[in-house]
Amino acid sequence: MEIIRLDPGELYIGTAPAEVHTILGSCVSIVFYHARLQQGSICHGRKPAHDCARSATGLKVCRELGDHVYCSLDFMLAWFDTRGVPRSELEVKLFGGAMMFNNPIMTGGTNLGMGKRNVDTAMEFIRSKRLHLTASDVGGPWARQIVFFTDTGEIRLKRVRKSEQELNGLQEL
Amino acid sequence: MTTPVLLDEVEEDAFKELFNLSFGATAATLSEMVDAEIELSVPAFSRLSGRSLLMQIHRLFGSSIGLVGMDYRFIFPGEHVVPGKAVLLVRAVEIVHFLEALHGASIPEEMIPQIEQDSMQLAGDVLLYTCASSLSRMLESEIDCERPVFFHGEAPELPHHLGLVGEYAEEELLMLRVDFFMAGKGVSGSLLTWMSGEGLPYLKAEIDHFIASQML
Repeated sequence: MEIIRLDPGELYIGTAPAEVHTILGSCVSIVFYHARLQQGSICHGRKPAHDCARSATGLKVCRELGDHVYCSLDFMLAWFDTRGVPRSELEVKLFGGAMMFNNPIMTGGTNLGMGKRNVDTAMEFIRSKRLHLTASDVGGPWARQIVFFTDTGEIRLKRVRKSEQELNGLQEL
Repeated sequence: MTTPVLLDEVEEDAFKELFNLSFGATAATLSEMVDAEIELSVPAFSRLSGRSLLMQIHRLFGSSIGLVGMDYRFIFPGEHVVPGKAVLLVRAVEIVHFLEALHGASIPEEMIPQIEQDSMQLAGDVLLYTCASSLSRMLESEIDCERPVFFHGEAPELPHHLGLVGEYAEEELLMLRVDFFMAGKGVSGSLLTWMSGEGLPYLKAEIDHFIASQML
């Protein structure tokens, strides 16, 4: 089976069995999986949303698409839409969005910084498209190592408790 | 005079089982988020007024309450809409333990007001949506959810916060409830969901559909 390393700002759509590895700090990964097709996709978004002009009729791909949670989700959903996959049959899983309440870099005044904003954006998208969220592990001070099997939808998740200093470094992940 | 629609014993058991399954997915998510085993009660189903529901919440949780509430609408075939609400309830004194479980560390007292709103809203968002979307999936309906809202306050404010005032306090509701306990974290709470009693005919039809599909 092919092993894919998914870096920040990348997304992967698996049409053949593959094992996708990624590490998350305040970034989030969202998995879409369709059991009948045995196909899945995963993104690794660093930032919530990109304020760009979206096309109402087609699918616009910008150079920063993968960095942004909303744009990545929009793209992945469109991919399944164009293949005629009913949205009600998609399983959605959400991971990441680490936050440190006592870390001034990760807290932003009234909220808990980038991790929360990333999770909020993902949830807003999931809610607005009426998708079915089947599993999640978000928030907390933990980095997360994730392995996604595109043919079965299985997720293996390991939490990595980092020191605050190390977690600061993982903010870009 | 119309005959009230009722769920028979098999339908009621099936409905509780559907809720049990959907809360199972929610409990698994909660378990991951707080890194603890979650013990669950057997789901309870009741038909009651909004006023009785508020009394039940008061009896279970006392006068000071923390909750995250999310409005949703199940959209059944034929565009039949059944509005409802899902609520995650904990005693106010246990919110700090919940926050500590979510953050994996003790929280300085002065930080609590700052993080309480965001952390509880985020946890409620993920947990309540997982529960409602899982239930709607099994009932083969679409779901339309609002963003959850966190409330930490006293019982007299609750009717307004939950929208159970005026005629809504007398409206018949279909309520499902499961209680949970986070092992080793000092937090217990309940997950409640209720729907308008007017939706019962549509709900009954989908439950019957579910039962028939299980017999194939």
